[in-house]
Amino acid sequence: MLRMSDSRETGGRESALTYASLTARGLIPNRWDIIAFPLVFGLLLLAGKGAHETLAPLSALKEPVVSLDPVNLPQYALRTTLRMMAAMIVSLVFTFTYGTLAAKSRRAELVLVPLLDILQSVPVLGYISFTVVFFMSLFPGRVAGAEAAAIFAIFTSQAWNMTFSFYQSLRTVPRDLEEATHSFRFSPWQRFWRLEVPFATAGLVSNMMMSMSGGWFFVVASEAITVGNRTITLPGIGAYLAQATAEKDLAAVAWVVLAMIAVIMVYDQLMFRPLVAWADKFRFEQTGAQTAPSSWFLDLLQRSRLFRTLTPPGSMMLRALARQRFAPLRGEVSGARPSNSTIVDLLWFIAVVAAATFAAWKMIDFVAAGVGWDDVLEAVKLGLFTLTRVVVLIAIASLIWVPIGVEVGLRPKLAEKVQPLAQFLAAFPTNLLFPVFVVAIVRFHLNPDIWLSPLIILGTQWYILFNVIAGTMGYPNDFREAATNFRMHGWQWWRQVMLPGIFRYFVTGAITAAGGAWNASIVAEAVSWGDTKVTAQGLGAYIAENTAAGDYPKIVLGIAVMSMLVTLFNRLLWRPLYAYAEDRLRLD
Amino acid sequence: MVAIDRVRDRTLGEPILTVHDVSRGFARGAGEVRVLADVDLSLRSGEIVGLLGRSGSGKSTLLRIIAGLIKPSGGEVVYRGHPVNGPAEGIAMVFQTFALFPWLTVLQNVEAGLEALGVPGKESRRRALSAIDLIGLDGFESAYPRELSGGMRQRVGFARALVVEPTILLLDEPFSALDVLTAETIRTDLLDLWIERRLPIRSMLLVTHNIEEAVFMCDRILIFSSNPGRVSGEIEVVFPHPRNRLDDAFRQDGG
Repeated sequence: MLRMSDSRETGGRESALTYASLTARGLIPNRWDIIAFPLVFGLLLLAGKGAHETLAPLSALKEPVVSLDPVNLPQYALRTTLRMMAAMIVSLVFTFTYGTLAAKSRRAELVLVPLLDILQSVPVLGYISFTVVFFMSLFPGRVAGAEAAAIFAIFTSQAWNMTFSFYQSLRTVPRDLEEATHSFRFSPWQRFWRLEVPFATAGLVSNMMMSMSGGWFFVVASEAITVGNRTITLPGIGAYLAQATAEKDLAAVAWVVLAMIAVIMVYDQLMFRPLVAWADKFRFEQTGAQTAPSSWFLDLLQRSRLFRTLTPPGSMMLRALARQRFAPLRGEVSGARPSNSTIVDLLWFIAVVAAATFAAWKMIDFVAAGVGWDDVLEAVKLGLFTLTRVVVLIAIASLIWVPIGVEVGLRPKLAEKVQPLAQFLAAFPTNLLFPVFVVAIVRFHLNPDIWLSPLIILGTQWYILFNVIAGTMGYPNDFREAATNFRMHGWQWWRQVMLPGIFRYFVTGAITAAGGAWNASIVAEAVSWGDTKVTAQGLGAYIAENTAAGDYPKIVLGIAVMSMLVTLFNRLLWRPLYAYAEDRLRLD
Repeated sequence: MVAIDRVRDRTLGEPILTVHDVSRGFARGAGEVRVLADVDLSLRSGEIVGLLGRSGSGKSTLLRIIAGLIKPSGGEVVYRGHPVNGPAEGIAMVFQTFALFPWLTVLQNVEAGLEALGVPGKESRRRALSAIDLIGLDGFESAYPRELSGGMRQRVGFARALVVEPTILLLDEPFSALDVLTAETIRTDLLDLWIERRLPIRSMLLVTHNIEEAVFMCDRILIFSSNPGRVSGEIEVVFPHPRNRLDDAFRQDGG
């Protein structure tokens, strides 16, 4: 649900980190959501239900025991990281195929884009009960199934925004460059590798980094999952935390927090920075005044003899591959694309509608069997509780972080130090800190409905901060000079000079933070410490409890209601705000 | 000859602004790059002074130091007897990039400077409208800058600067982002207002790399050389305003 699709604005170091602009989302035809929605849920349900039945007679997976000895932590951390990487590879493959298909085929686009839009509003941790069952049935009795389920969960947290970014880039390749490739008679394959992929790289990499940062949260959450009477534990940071929570071992919690800090620092130095520095050369805009991102590790790699000797064969092969035409060289440029026949369009449309209707019917049928109208009302009511939490906390976080972000962004030296810190905090999986809150709530007899709420924004508020910092740093200098020259200050300065200029960045950050908060609610509204359970009233807790109970119709109901609320929230608040920012507050 | 007398009239005044030994360096990499070295100049009442030099010679930096937008590393700027330590009252600037806030209408852009000075609403509206009228933007009050052509945008830039009734108007290559004909029109309009004394301004400082523009507009031209930027020569332009490019006197050596 981290939603963002591209960032090709503002020069400088932060540009690669200026996640998201939702322009692609503006292109999406709304009516198609009506079809996409049942499709997503219908498929999910069929997969889960079918798998559920196949799996039922099988005995539970033998639990691998996680030891709380800190000596094991490096090994667990490694396994957690490997899961992340595997998910990232799957996400990339998905991005390249799905994004390309959506951008190149008009008929596919009609279905794929709304589908993606709904997919990214489905809470990641909502899927997991279905996917665990599904993958375990693919690999019965083996750890591989659980591994695949965890990787799939991380994949669902990573892939959508990357795909959107890629799709959007393919759709917005500058016309003059495209005309140049036609004029030089590139084949479609050549154009893809020479123009489209390089053009999409900057946006894709920043979204990859974004996804990776968000992914830590989900990898931790998906390593220890209880679905019905089945508990699946995969050795890793998340499982270690689950074990520490179950045994009420605060020291172990401290150890796992330390281990995670170390992992993210290593990840930052060895992956995040090198990739961002490398992708900087693909930045399209030509404002180059600010400092380019740099990475010592990338420098080391590029300068080392080992690397120089090892890479040429591979890169030569890739280059040769990209040079192939895979299409005959035509004598003349074909004018417009051959027109698509209306009959095929009609058939395609009927097929899509039929599939959606079938899926909707299946879904209603399945949910209706285990759920009554009371349950629907209950879920909606709880959804409104969670909605209130999200709105109030985003508002509070904005009031705190927007002024701070602007003040930091106006001081480039300070911003250079704060920005990595904010990124670190955004990547840190805050679920590791939940036990501490539970202990405090229990000890001081606090009201969980209020005091569990901050947890949902603990990890995602940083997106507001660093987007505002990036926006302020990218704020045109001549505007600032004009404001100073005319001695604008105080509230007038905020109202007329700064806030409109960073509004778009703020909205982007707030959208990401809100998306993350919905996701986090599933783990943050129901937290346990040993056998003490602290629960807040909300849809997140509802989904979590029904997942633990293995009540599938209610899980589907819960995530459907949440997805709908998220979608409505996006349509009625974020998208108009973003459109307003794009339309009226552009900096040109 | 009437015109020339008028110009002489104005130049009788004391210097309004003086620049003493101003230098400025920027840290780059390990060392420091000197952009300006020991610049001296003065602006007297009634004159238009040109700063003519190549791109990157530090003209714009000097202009920003005079405006109080950046601090010099050495030397000082004295305006009406006081050193400049920040944006001073009575010094307004017109930007090469226009620097109009895209989210404010023409009227709001023009009024922004008055609002900053605490001019009450009614008064500020009246002054803004009359500045808009003066600069030829009548009817565009509620348009947004991006709805206007480049020339119209720069007219807004002028209106915004003039409405605060500055003593000194700083012009940072105000015509270089415009096409030749538009630039010519706005230049002429500005000079007409200046000659007819319809502006409260007492002196203008024009940064430009366009020799013809400098000769056409200025009473005095300071030649700026680069690396580091400094004033390397001064030329008095004795032709009376209004000047006509096609005038024989203007086209030949005026002596």
